[in-house]
Amino acid sequence: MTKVKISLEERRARLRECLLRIAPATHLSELDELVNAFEPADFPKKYLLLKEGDFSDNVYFICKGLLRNYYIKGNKEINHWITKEDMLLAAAYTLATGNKNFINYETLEDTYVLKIKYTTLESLYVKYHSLEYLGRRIVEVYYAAFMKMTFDILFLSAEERYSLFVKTHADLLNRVPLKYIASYLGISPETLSRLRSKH
Amino acid sequence: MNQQINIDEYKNHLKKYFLNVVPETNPDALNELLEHFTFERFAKKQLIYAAGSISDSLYFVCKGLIRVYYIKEDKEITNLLVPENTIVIGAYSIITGEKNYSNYEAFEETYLLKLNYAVLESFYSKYHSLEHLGRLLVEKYYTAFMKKTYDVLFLSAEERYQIFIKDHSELINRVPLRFIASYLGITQETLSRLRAKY
Repeated sequence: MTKVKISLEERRARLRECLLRIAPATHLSELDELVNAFEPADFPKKYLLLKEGDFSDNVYFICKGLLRNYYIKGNKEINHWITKEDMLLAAAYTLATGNKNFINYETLEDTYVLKIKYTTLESLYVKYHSLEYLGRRIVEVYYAAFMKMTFDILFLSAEERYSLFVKTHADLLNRVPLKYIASYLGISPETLSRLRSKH
Repeated sequence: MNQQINIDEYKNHLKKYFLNVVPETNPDALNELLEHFTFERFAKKQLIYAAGSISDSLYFVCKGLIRVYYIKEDKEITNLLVPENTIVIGAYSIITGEKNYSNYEAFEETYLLKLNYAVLESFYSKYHSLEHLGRLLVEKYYTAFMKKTYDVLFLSAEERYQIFIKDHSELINRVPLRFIASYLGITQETLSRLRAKY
């Protein structure tokens, strides 16, 4: 892993900014208490952060780097989600239910994060009203994104999904191997190549 | 229809629903919130929300049943069946302000308690205890949505059928089989085979 130095202050400033975009009225002293409870961690490329069947109560914030979330169905890896900078990542289903986790989380690049235990996060939500609001907004934002992904797969054509991907994640086209993008879009690598040469 | 409608009793059921999610919710704040729910009655087959519309309210089913479905390639696909004492919400539309993807239909004569989401959020801001309840409600719906998605991805038709009869045994006799088959993502023939087996 090539050493890229990203200071703790830099990471926390990035998280602070991201959370203020989600809930601009968060009380700043309370937000600082939350942000300062996060600790740094670094993972090399190809690192399996969490695997199917594991339980994890960590919440991660990606400061730099990239992960794919995939599941295995009928011996095939299906790419479910791509997590990049300024996004939060948690094994949400396992966290909420205590049931088995279906998803694998693997880094696609060297990845620099902040992390916190969900129980620590919750204790701060309960301590401060403005953080509890922030907590609800975070869940709403990720819930809406999950629903949107499901609806896009249901209602849009491969071509529409590709255009949407290029529009919202242009930066990922050169960072994520095409086979993973194809899998994420629910199309074959051949269809993806055809769409790439067309657009 | 001469049935007595007892709104206070329905509000009591709703209160129990909330307290079941967060038992320590501040009772005064909760009672104040409950006062703002209004009663609505939908005839069988009447649409509560149409796909393409914007939702602004949360509903609690007092009596009856709601079917949530979308239309794909001219076919209706049932994605949820919501019975009594459950909350139903056009979550995607409420959170994003964009249009609903699904239709919400009263599948039987249905009584609902309704609250505008902006009013609900004003109570979340007023009382930390209700904000906490609100966060856990959203987590609950998110989890249910993930579970439905993962069940379809990872479980066999037979496992999904078993979960359905465990969670919704009363619906087997209330909902025509073709809707249950659609909900489970299986053909009616597969459903008949599973029913004969269990």
